[in-house]
This record gives sequence, structure tokens and C-alpha cells, in this order.
Amino acid sequence: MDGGTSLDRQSAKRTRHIDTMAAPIFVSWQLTRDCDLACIHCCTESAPGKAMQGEFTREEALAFADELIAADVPYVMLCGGEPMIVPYFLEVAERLGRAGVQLKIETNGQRFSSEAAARLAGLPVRSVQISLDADTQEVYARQRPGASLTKVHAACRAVRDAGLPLEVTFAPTRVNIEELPAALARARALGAFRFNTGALMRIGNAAKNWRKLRPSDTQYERFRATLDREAAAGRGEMELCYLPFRMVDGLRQLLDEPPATLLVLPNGWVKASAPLSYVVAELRHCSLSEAWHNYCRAWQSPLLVDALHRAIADEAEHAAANSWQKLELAVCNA
Amino acid sequence: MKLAKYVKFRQEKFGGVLFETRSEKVYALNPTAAAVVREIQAGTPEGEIPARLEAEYAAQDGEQIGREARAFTQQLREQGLVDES
Repeated sequence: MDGGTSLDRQSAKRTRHIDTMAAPIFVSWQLTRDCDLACIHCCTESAPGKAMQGEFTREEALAFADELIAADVPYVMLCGGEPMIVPYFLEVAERLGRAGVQLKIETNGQRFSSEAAARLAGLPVRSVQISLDADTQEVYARQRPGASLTKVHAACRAVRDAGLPLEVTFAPTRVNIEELPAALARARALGAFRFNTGALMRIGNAAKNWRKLRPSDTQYERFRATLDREAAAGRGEMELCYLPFRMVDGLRQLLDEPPATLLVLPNGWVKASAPLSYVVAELRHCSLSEAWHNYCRAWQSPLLVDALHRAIADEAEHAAANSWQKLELAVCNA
Repeated sequence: MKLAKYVKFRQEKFGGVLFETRSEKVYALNPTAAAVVREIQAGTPEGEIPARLEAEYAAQDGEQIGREARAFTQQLREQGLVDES
């Protein structure tokens, strides 16, 4: 592709040449919107009993897993909502993993048991990512009402005891942002290989509670200073991943280089991008190959490009991310 | 030599892609580089890969392809994309 044999490195989130690829290289698959927690900042607005209408059945989910395998998709993230409350979650993970698909599992850690870890340990799991965005029970439960920090720590240990790679995520809000240093130390002590964070995304519940949750500029300055200092210290055992810091900075990169990534919602809808509202395909009515084709063409659509420009210009635009609009007809009939 | 634990390869019309999932980095490969990765996956000893490709691509300047294959193999090693088996 680059005319020589040199490696042409690109970020997975800004892969170029999507039109020349036969299939996505990464699929982020929300198995459900249902959750055992109702976090005040949740970008998918997940909560107990809030499954999406028409979520995939077990049979449909396994059939979609087979499509991912057949298309040679190398890397799939299983997330939610909370994937651990999906009765067939491990079946899907095993179907994909036994076929060689590398997996990332995103969980809040409330139900992630040693038994689940042991089953996953036999699969090519790239990481289990657990939300660890506080270091005191009081603050954790304010951000994630009803959540137990003790269970989260136990889940992290179960991941490491099973020999699985642990990744943690910290979503900063006005509630928890001051606990970053302690959370960093805790994540390191628990054996995480990566710590993911960045500015709070103005999507879902975070958008609804924006005034209450958005950290102040001063808080963000201290937050960034802590991260920069930790990164400069270069303690190699845990990578800090916080750049681009704001979602809009990541979005700018998409203009020239849409990622070779499909975001699949629990009902099989395919979103163009997390902060945009456009749905570009419905997997109940088309194959993965057709969805990929639609996705690639969608990035040529003036509607989508205009929406991306607006999302870059005004972060408040992200608040509409979960009010889905179908772009499918405009794309398919173009 | 084999692909590292978190490295996946997929053949594409233009050559192929290597995906290092741990760092989530993607590498686009031209046809020669993709052929090298296929040989690695097939278990071909590193020292035999250039000669194999030289023979395979003899009509298209096999010697040049052999040189490229050696250089690419070194790049894979430097980037940590392969393990010595």
C-alpha cells in the first residue's frame, strides 16, 4: 500500500483506506443496554431494566459472531450496558475467541467472578477493562449509585489471578476527579497494564447532568498536570492513555481518516461514530459485508461530514448522540 | 519466528494489514510485506523467506523482493511484532 516494505503505522482509531479493506478490523459490540448500575455519567444511558427495544436474541448474537469470524475481523470489544448480565455473554466470547478473534471485555466489575475469568483465560483476551474511577467507596457510590468498590477490586484481582491483562478506565467528573492520584496508585497496585482516561464525554447521562458533572477548568488543569507528571515519570509497568484528551480532538482526525471500526448497538444497528446520532446500517436486515459497505459510503455523505464538523465545532452537539437517526437510505440509494 | 501474541494479520487486495491489538496500532502492508507475513505464519524459517519470495516473484525482480523481505523482517523484529520461536 505504501509502495515499499516499510511499516505504515496508523492509529486503530484513524485507519485510512477503509474503502480498500474487505471488512472492519475492529468491532465494538454493545451486547445490551441493560445494566446493574445507573451511573450518573453513563454515555449509553444504561440502567437496570433499560434494555433496548429489539436487542439481539442469543441465536442472533451467535449468528453475528459467526459473521465476524467469517469476515476475519481480528479484534472485537464486547461491552454494554453491562455484558456480564447477558446470559449468553460467555457463549459469544467463546465462539469468537475459539475462532482466534482477539477480545476486549468492558465491565463495571460488579459481577465479574473468578469463574468467568477462568473461562475467559482460555481465550485470546487482549484485555478486560474495568471501571475504576474512584478510590473510596463513598465517592465511587456517588458516581455509580449502588456500586461496590470492594467488588471492583475483587474483579480486578480475578482478572490478574486468571492471567488475563487488566485495563482500567477513569471517567472524570466533578464528583470523582480529585481521586485520580489514588486511583492511579490503586490501578498500578492491582496490576493494570493500561490506565485510560480523558475529558468527560458530553454524551448520554453526562450530557443530561452536564452542569453538575463537568469538572471545572481548575480541576481539569490539576488532572492534566497529574497525568503529565505520571507519564513523564515513565513507570513502564502501566501505560497512561489520555491523549487526545478531548473527544473533539479525536474527531478532527476522523475527517481525513475514518476508522475501520464498526460500532454495533444491542439491536444490530450500526452507528457511524460514538458522538454522532447517525445509524448507517441495520444488521437484522443486512449482512456484515453490506453494513461495512454502507459504513464506508456513509463517510462520503455530506450529511455525516457536516454532522462531524458540527460535533467538532460545538461539544454540545454530542448530547444528541443517542437520539438515533437513520442514514441508511441516503447511503444505500445514493 | 512467529507473529507476536497480540498481532493479527489479514490479507487484503492491496496486500494486508497487521493489527497489534495491545497498542491498537494498525500497519498497512504492501504485497511483498504481506507475503513475508504469510510465510512466517506458514512456519517458514526466517533465513529461507527471501529465497522463497525471490523464486516466487522471479519475473518481477526477485532479487529486489528478496532484499525487501529481509529489510521487512528486520522491521517486524524492531517493532516487536514477531517473537523468536
